[in-house]
Amino acid sequence: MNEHKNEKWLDEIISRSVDSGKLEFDAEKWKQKYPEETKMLSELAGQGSQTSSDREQNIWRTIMKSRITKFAAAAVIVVAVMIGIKPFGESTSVLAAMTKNVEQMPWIHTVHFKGEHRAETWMSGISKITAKKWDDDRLTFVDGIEQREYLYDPSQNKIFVSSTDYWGPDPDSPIQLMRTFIHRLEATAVSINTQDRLIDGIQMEIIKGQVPKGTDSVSVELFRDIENNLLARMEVLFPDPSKNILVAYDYPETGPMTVYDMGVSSDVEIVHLVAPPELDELREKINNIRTTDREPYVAISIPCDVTQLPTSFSGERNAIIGMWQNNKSWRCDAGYYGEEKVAKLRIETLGDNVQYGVKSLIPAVSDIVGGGKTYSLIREEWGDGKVKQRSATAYRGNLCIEEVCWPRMRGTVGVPVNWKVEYVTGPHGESLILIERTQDGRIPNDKGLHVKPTRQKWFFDPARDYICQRREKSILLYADWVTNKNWLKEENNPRFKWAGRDYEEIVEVLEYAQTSSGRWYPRMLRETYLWYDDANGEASVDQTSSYNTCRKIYLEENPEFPEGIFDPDKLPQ
Amino acid sequence: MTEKSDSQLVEAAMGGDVEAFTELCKRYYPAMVAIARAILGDRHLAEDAAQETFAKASRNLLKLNELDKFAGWLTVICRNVARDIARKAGAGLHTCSLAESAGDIPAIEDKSQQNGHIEAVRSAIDKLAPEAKELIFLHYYDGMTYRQISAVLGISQEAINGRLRRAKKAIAERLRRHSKVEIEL
Repeated sequence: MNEHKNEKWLDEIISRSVDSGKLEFDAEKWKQKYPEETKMLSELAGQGSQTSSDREQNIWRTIMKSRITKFAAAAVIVVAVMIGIKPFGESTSVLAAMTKNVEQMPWIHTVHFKGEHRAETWMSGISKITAKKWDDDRLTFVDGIEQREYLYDPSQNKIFVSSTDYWGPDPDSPIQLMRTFIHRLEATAVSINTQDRLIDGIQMEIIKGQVPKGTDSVSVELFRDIENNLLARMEVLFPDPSKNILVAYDYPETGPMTVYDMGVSSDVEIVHLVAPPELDELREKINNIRTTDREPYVAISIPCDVTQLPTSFSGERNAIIGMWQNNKSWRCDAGYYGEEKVAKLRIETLGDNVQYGVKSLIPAVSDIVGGGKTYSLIREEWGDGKVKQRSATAYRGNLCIEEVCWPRMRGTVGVPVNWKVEYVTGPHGESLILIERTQDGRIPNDKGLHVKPTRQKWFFDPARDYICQRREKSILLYADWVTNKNWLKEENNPRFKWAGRDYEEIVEVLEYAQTSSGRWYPRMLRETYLWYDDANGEASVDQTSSYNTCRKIYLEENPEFPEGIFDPDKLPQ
Repeated sequence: MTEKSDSQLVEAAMGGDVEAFTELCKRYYPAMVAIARAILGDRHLAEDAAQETFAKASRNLLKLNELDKFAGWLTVICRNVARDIARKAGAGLHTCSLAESAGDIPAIEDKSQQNGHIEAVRSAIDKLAPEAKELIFLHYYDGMTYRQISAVLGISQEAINGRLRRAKKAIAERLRRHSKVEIEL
């Protein structure tokens, strides 16, 4: 018969298992054991203590020795001057401070209208909770500490509990919407005006700007509570009114701590889709490898073979150089858009988006992995010789070696998910760990979010720092892994059309290399994409629906950059 | 008398105050032993590693830029020192698992069932991921609070709470499988 115990008993038995008695540092013994170190310490008195400013100056001198940093500094100064003469320059810093204030609030509550749809959200960076109530009464509750996601589906009257290692703002979250539109205002607004007004007894600054979008423009209006420097309301008006966004923000002292606090009855059936226990350990291990022992490397990645690229492909086609150094991200892209050659230089400082961003992406120094929230200074040179310079807040997209090597395993919030862990053999006989995540589609109704069935597979190589040897992603309407096919009954729903075509992608490591300290990284990657022409499950493999590319990664541990590396004419062709 | 902050002690040590440095050593010795023990398994080796950590820290003290990050800086040194000890010994050193180092552990209740549970817990701790094992040692070895652990590891108290809970769940699961003990967490 099983014994039944409680947590207190477990604490006690763990304490007993590890306890080795009181530990005390014996200073005299240490001094005897390390006489040279003791002497060295005492001799520091003669040298005088370094002040903080001395240390900062030393660091600054070290940084400024780098040729590439001098270039960056020059660019920063040029852009700073440009910002200074912009009428919106002052507001930019106010908005940056406001964004930071909002992000640091214990709770953010919003009521959010998009077209005719309404949603209510709560978010707490301190408690690592996001909760959302949809207008069809679905609820999602994500507990980032427990790494659990709760989805209440009123149509089935069930709560689905899934594992998640991701906690953070999704693209439609109020935090992300705020960041996105402030970024657009800062970066691309063609006209901005501000005015102060008293609304409901609160002194507000209304910041209004027109942001270009294709051949049209979008109107963005922010209501800033001047006294508290917090965002109170945001309105985004599109040419098509059904896309209009309105978000009202407020900042309560507390919010829902469980899914039941959102009004779900405690007798609702719970369906556990929680991942196998070893998954938590594996994910933690991979997270740890990704985020610790970062070293100040610079990675350069160049696509070495682009084939079958569809003519409609709008991304950078030729050269992409990504470099990460000294807490800055450097990118130089070159490509052809139409007949024009375009070169872009981006110098991006990794930001300190600790509370709402993904912590693992904030390195103390930059390294082979890099990534993360960025405050950007962008200089663009267009084919017509015109130069644009601007300041912006942005997320870096494109290749991020961190994500390639040790990806975060997550999916869409609000859809039941199944996880599987298997031990498999790789293409060269190596032992790999396969983590598979599958999720059903979501019934597309007029109110809810449309999500296609998705399967993701990650193959990790334990012998090489758990690097992801291969990853696959499939988004297929008629996938065989779908367990609940009810939603397909509504296939004539127009929402299927804007859910995009089915596709599959594979990223695999073809060659590995190691740093001098023994850390593994990918030397060559192959990326393969296959788009399905129609949602009828049949793939078309003509040149417009698939392409693959190899990408070679060069890693410099003590980098020196040649003069003119950002000169568009000298970029690799 | 108010206890001096890490920054004050580091600043003093940088100015040649050896006693300030040994005060820091006293403050972080148990934590460093716990961190090293999570890697090395053996208490005596872990104590050596902690002492070597302080020696290395004293030699590099002037390189520390952010004085209030002393604990985190020390932790990184300690992990490296412990890994070096493990690596240098290579195959010659069989780093001792917790289950094997039972001799280190003070006398426990003389009850075979209790001993069985303790062995199962030790075995479960051995199988935890290194970072989870580190947390278990920091929290249970010297009774460090979440706040203290947070300073040492540089992660939030919420994250510590979450990771400890998961580690405890893993231990509870092993106890359930091997010792037929159901634990309500």
